[in-house]
Parts: sequence; structure tokens; C-alpha cells
Amino acid sequence: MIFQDPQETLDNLPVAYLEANVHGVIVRANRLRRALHPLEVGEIVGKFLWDLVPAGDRESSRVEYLESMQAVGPMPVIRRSIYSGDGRFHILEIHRSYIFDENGTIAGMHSMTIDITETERAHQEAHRAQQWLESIVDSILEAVIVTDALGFVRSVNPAAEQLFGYTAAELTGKPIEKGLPILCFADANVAPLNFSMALDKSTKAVATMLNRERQPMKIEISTSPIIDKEHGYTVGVVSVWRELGAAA
Amino acid sequence: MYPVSALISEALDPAIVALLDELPMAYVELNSEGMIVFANRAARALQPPGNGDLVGKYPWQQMPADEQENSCAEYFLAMETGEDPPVIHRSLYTSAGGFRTHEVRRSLIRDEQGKPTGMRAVTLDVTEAQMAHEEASNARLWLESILNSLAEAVIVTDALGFIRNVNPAAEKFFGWPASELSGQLIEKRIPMLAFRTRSGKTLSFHMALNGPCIGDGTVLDRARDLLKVEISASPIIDKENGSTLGVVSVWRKIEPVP
Repeated sequence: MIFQDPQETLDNLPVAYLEANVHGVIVRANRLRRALHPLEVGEIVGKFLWDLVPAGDRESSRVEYLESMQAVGPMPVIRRSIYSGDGRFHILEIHRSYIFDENGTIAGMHSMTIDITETERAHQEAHRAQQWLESIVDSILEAVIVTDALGFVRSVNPAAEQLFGYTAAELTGKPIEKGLPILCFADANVAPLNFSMALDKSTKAVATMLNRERQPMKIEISTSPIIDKEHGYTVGVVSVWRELGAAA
Repeated sequence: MYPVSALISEALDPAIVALLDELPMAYVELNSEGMIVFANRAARALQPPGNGDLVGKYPWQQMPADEQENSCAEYFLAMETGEDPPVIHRSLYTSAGGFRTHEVRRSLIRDEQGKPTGMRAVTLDVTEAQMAHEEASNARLWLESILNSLAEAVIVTDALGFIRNVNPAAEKFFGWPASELSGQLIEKRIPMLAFRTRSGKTLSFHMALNGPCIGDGTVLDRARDLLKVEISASPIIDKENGSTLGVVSVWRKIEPVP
């Protein structure tokens, strides 16, 4: 025999569990659920669900719960931030379902709670790191254009938009050699720069090209293959473009 | 009522079986051999149509081939050691079509002597959250690769002037490894002996915080050699809230100082 006591069964669940009756009174809570609340909350069984939420949210929580008990409706997954028993704020994801009595009438709610604080923190950190790096590339005063390994433009920073007069949206997705055609290279003795060459090694060249207004510009281009930090593959080319003056 | 296994139905009050069945999350119990002996309604709903009952199956039958062996071995290790199993992520073939990533929270079922006799598991579909996280991580890696690959020397400082990013071109340019520059004040580590912006003002870190500036200057590299450089510096503006996060500067050598 594995379980004897209903409370023991619930206490052994690997996630926090709580049950409330139709009036919102907590009638059962397992060990993990009780541990979520600071000691001063005391025994949570017998309290109203809204006694556990911040004071400012109590009335809306009460109204929402009592309304949901009137008729069967969707019970979406919700997120709550709580001040926990360990003295820290935790982000909880709460999954809920109705409890019905033997006549099929709503009798309350089951709620299972997952602490997603760490997952959420990791996600926010990755998102913030992405934002930080995007902001850096966008803020560089030099014109920076990134292509993927096939030569399609993937990003254009504001300085590049300003230099060529094209918006990022107009260049993104186009082959770079079509989007920004090079008319000629300054040094006839140096092999003309092409995309395949830029995939293999860092290059530098001075060339004449046309801006959006079809005005020739003398541009210094330095390119580097983008090497994936994790696998070492070449995933594209990053190029920096600077105007040396109007072309003769 | 779904036919639950003898293991559960004999042991439990029918009211508790009903309660477990109605839980808002997928819940399963496994015996010591790893066979599913109870699956609640939410767990059964995950089963692809035509796949039959979950009860009597092994969880690794729902997983991709490359996860099966590890999952099985890990299960029996938990049964043997009696140590509480950690939260894990598993790919499960579900009724949504294809594999979905589930976060699995587990606890051991024990007999009166405390010996493990099975496991309970609650699973949560985290596919979307995982994809969003992977997308952000991949975007971060892509942008890091771009910065690291730039042929120009790039140094990024935070809003207080502490160096936060140094790309390989900048390491080569100044002779300092990134690890020795990161966390240092830029004006101390890369002392500027002279600098004039194109508007004729002397550059300071605070000036670059307020707006873009370009100019020429002389700095010392790690070997204390003079480098005549062109610097273009610009404040980094947070795309989301418009606040200034720091300064990004691009450095080029103009000519060796005699």
C-alpha cells in the first residue's frame, strides 16, 4: 500500500497544491504550498485566497474568484509575484481547474503552483543581454552591415542607413552585392573584393559605390567573417563602411 | 472513470483518486520498474490519438531515441540511491503533434521502510518558454559573434565608464587581453594623452555619454608606446526605454607617433 492519508498524498506531490471552496476559503494545502508563504501568514487553511495576495490586489482577486465560481469558464494559467517564506520575491505560475460536486455543480478550485523564478530570471537575463548587444551595434558611429553566410543582408545599423540613404528594412533580406553595388575599386592591383572572399578572411578595400541618390561615394570597406562562438562555423560577414569623401 | 492501476486503486480512497484525476496539470505515477501505473486526465490528454493507454507504458517510449537510454538509466539510479530526483526537461511526443518540451517535477514514492517503490511526476509544457529563451540566447550569441568579428577595435563601457566589452581587434590594438581591461575604468587603463574632437573640444568620457563625438588623439598601449588614434564614440541608448547605458567607441590607428 502506498498512500493511506489524503493529506499525505497531497503533501507528497512534487508541486505546491491548494484547494479552495466556492467561497474562496482554502480547505487544503500541501507542504510545498504552505512553505511558499512567510511564517507570519501562519496556517493558510481557513484563510481566504485573497488573504495571500498583496493588499492592493485583494479586492480584484476576490471579485475575480467569486465571478469564476458563478459559471464554468476558462481558467487560464496566471502568474503572481509573492513574497515567500524564504524572504524573497518569487514568480509563480498557477494552474487551476474547477472542482465539481456529485451533481456537477462548481464546488471550488484546484490550484497547482510552479515556482518559475529561476527560469524567468534566466530568460530575462538572456533578453537583457540581447538588448544590450543590439543597443551597442545600433549605437556604433561607424556604418555596420551584417550579412549571413549566403550574402543576404541581416542587419544594418543606423549609421549605415545614414551613410547610404537606405532604410534597414529596404536592405535587409537582399543580397549585399545587389543592395550596395560596387562600381570600381581604387587599387587596380588588388583583387576586387567579393562576398566569397569576405567569408574566408578579413579584407580591406577602397571602392566607389552609389548611394540611394545614385551619387558616387568613395568608401573604405573592412570586412570580417563572423565566427560562431560555440561551434566555430562561419555564420556570415560583418563589414564596416566609412566614407572617405565624394568620388571623383 | 479511467481504469487506474491496481497499485493506486487498491491503495487510495476513491475520493483521492478522483482528486488526482482532476488536477490541472499532468500527473503520473510509475512503479519501481518505471512502468506508468497511474495517469490523470491531463496526462492522458497529452497522449497522441491512437497511442492507446498511458498506463502500462514506460515514459521513455514517448521520448526521442537519443533521450531514452539516459532517462531510463537515471530512473533506475534514483530507485537505487533513494535520492530525491531533480527537476528535469524531457521531450515528449504529445497529442499537440511532434515533440514538446516538458519540465518534469518528481518525488519518490516510498514504502514504510523508506525504500523507493516508484515515482510521482508532474509535467508542465515549457516548449514556448524554452523556445523564447533559446531565441534570446541565439540572438545574444549572434550579436556577440558580430562584435567579436568586427575588424575595428571596439570598446564598450557602462554608464560609469567601466569597461564591459572588448573585442579581439581591440585586444590586439592595445595589447591588453579583454580580461585585464574588463571592469577597469577606461580613462585609467587606456590613458589619453591628448584628444581633440572635430569640433575642437577635448574629449572626456562624460562628453561621449551625452552625444556622439569623433576626433583624433594619442593614447598609450600596454607596452606604454604612443598610439595616434582616431576615435568615434557614441552613447549606447537602451532601445526599450531610451536611457543611456554606456558608450561604444571604435578605435583606429592613424600613424605611428615618431
